[in-house]
Amino acid sequence: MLLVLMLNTGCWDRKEINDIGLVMGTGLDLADNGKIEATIQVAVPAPSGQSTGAGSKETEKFFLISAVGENGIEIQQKLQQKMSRTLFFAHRSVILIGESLARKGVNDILDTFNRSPRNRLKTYMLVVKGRKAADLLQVNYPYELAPAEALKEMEMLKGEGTIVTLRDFMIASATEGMSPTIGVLEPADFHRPGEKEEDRLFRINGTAVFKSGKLTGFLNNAKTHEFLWFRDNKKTDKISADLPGGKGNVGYFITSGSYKINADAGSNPLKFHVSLKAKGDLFENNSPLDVTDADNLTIVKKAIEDRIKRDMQAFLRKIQTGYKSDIVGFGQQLQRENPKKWRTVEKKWDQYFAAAKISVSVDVTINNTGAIGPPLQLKEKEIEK
Amino acid sequence: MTNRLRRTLTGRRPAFDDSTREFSEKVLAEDLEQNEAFVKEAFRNCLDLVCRKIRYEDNDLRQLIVFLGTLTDEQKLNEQIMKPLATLRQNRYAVETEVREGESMPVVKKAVTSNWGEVILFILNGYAAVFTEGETSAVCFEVSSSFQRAIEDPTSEPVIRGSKEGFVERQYINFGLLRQYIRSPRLKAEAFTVGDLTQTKVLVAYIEGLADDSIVDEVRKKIASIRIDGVLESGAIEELIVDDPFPLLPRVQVTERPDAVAGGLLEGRVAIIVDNTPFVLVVPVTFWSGLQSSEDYNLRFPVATFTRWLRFIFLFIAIFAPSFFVAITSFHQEMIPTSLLLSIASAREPVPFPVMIEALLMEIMFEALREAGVRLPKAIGQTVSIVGGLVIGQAAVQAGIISTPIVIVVSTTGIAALLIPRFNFANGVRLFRFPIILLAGSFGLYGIALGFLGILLYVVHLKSFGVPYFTPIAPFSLRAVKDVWARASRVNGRSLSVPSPETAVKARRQEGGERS
Repeated sequence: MLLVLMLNTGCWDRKEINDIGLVMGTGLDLADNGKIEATIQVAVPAPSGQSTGAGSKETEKFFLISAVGENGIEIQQKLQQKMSRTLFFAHRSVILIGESLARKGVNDILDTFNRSPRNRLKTYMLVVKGRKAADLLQVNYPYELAPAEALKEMEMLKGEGTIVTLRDFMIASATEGMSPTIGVLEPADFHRPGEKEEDRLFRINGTAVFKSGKLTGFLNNAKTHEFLWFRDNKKTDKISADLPGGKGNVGYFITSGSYKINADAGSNPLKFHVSLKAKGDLFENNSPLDVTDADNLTIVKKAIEDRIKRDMQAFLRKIQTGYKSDIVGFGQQLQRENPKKWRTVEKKWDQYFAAAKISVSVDVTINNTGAIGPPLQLKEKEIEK
Repeated sequence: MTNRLRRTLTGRRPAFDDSTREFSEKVLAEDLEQNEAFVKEAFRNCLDLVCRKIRYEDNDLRQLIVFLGTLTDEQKLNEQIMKPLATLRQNRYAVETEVREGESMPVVKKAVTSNWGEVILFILNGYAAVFTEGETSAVCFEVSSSFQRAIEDPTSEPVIRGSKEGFVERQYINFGLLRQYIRSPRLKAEAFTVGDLTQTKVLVAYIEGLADDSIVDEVRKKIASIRIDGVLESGAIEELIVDDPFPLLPRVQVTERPDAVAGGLLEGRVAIIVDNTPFVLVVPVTFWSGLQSSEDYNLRFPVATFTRWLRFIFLFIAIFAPSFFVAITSFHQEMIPTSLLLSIASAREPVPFPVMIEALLMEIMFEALREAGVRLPKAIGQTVSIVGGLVIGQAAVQAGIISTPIVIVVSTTGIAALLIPRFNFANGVRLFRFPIILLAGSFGLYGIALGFLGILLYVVHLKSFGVPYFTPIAPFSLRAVKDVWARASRVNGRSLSVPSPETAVKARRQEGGERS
């Protein structure tokens, strides 16, 4: 029986590593004819021995193939026809979506990424701003073996951008009273000496706001930082605040932040209250204030709180009136607190949300001001105690 | 009584097996010539047979001394038999009684018999038989020479801390080593003779009151029932007393270390000491004792516990590492972290074989190297390891015939198998690897799970002399299990010197007996 097993080993779903094409990333774009163009980045495992050799430089670490099709299965079939090895999607780390496709809507194509067990729900999603997704897959990133890997690593540097996996996107889409977001990727200028070509790199910059599967707009980096308050992702953030009276400014480093939303369902327009709590350290003090003094510290604290509050209000205004897209989940909060009320506003939530009054309160705790009080370079009499 | 004890201790128990059976019916004749002719006929063409006739001229007494020159100590013979006989030659009766009673003969062991079978057996055991004219019984004096090597470090089971004495090939010295450890009359040794031609002496040693009577009985019964022409090593005994036509895992402990045997005896186990081999068998054993070294009990228990855990982990590695690698690289690539997969993929890129074939190839190559290392003369051994290491590790990878990861996996597995302290257990474990690689290569992790279940079923169904092999995990015993997961610490006045699963089995049995 063992002999039979041995002779038949090729017949099961056994796949040797050399027989699979590792798809590292997928880029989805809108094709000219309105269909979907998918580009996949396939890793080329460098034969060992060559990878160390200095002579054989620039062996391609990956290559791209693309196919246009109506839906996932068609595209996959077309892609497979171009490959000598079985496409293996389990290691795909990013899905890039071109802006044009994102604006048209992604709901029609995402199912294929979720249904097959070979796909990971932990795949990161990014919207490519202003370019085709395929363009960015082509970028030859200097660090990682495949650029998609680099993207994944960048995504994992938490706190700097909106990190959305396929799973997150699906959850946010399926949640009532909430709109999904996706991180934004854009080409970054990087000139190699002697090369004129731009777009050698990419950067994660901002957030793409979606509504019912369609891209409605982008949040810039600063706004994204405010948005991160609501993503339980406020692990690190740096805030600089001007002190009143032109005394200078301070830098504050948030080490942990939390938020709370309270809904007031009775009022019309709807009222929400956002209370933010931050803990962190004083990072920088460009003022004559001696921050070891409690009164001075209160001034600093107030300044930081005001800054956060101002930024938050600007952010809220932007999503309320600018995009009319509830990416924070105020609707969800309302539904939790007052399901009856939610049902009445559910249908026209966008309008209600845009009209809602949202107040913000901030509580900042400064844990550590550093080992020094005032800046060291100041003379004794310049210091305000 | 003393005679019986003496016989028990030295294994000189009359046996009537094939080699002497034809003589056992016959009794000695009065006539010396007739006896001599009989002995010479029995030992015809044996160049080491020495027949010396002594004739005392003054009183016409004739005696015949028969012995095997190869087995007897010439000096002993002269000092203990020839000299006394020569000085006592004046009186025929004095000599006769002297020879028969052996009272002033400076010989430790002697026996009187009139049965040819026994006489011949004694001669074969290095006795000198003295026949006297007109007597129908011969007196046999022990004058055997004891050629033996020095007691040395047990080479198969070296330890850092612990006794450096190892058993030798002579059974009585081996039992003497055990006596050095356990000076108690409760340490019993029952002698058996096994092998129709070899007449190998087999000793069953145990501590009365500690050893389970049923186990001692079973060992006695099994050894007594052995019918074989020759026993050259305890391996033959092991095979014949274990009721398993296909013994993958050892049901007896094989050791060269007196301290290990003494420890086993203190745990209530039974030792089987076979002549002509330094390897003593200890029964019963459990699966877990295969992972215990006698050194464990000499080390501080946290250290020993750590070592034990290390062995558990590496037992798994020794069985499953190559198959796991095969399974995940050929079935479950999604389980490997991406960057690792990429480096495995690039290493495998030039390799023409499937992973399973690669793994099997390398495992077999490794086993071959290992075997070659054991068998080869010491002088060549090093060459083999260097050449083997270079061929397998370096050249094969560079030639692109095999990949680097498999070399890492196979060598890890090889080291893992060496971590198992009992070599006969390790040998069994090594065999599990191959079917599981096949399973992994055919069914992936599912196959490994199947293989694991199969091994588990197999191990749980085994018994070693009535003791379930997986004791104390299955059947479970809370008291004993602490010496499996950890090396149980000793508490002054409350502990056995060597806590063991087996004693727990016994304790449990006793508890159960009291309850019912």
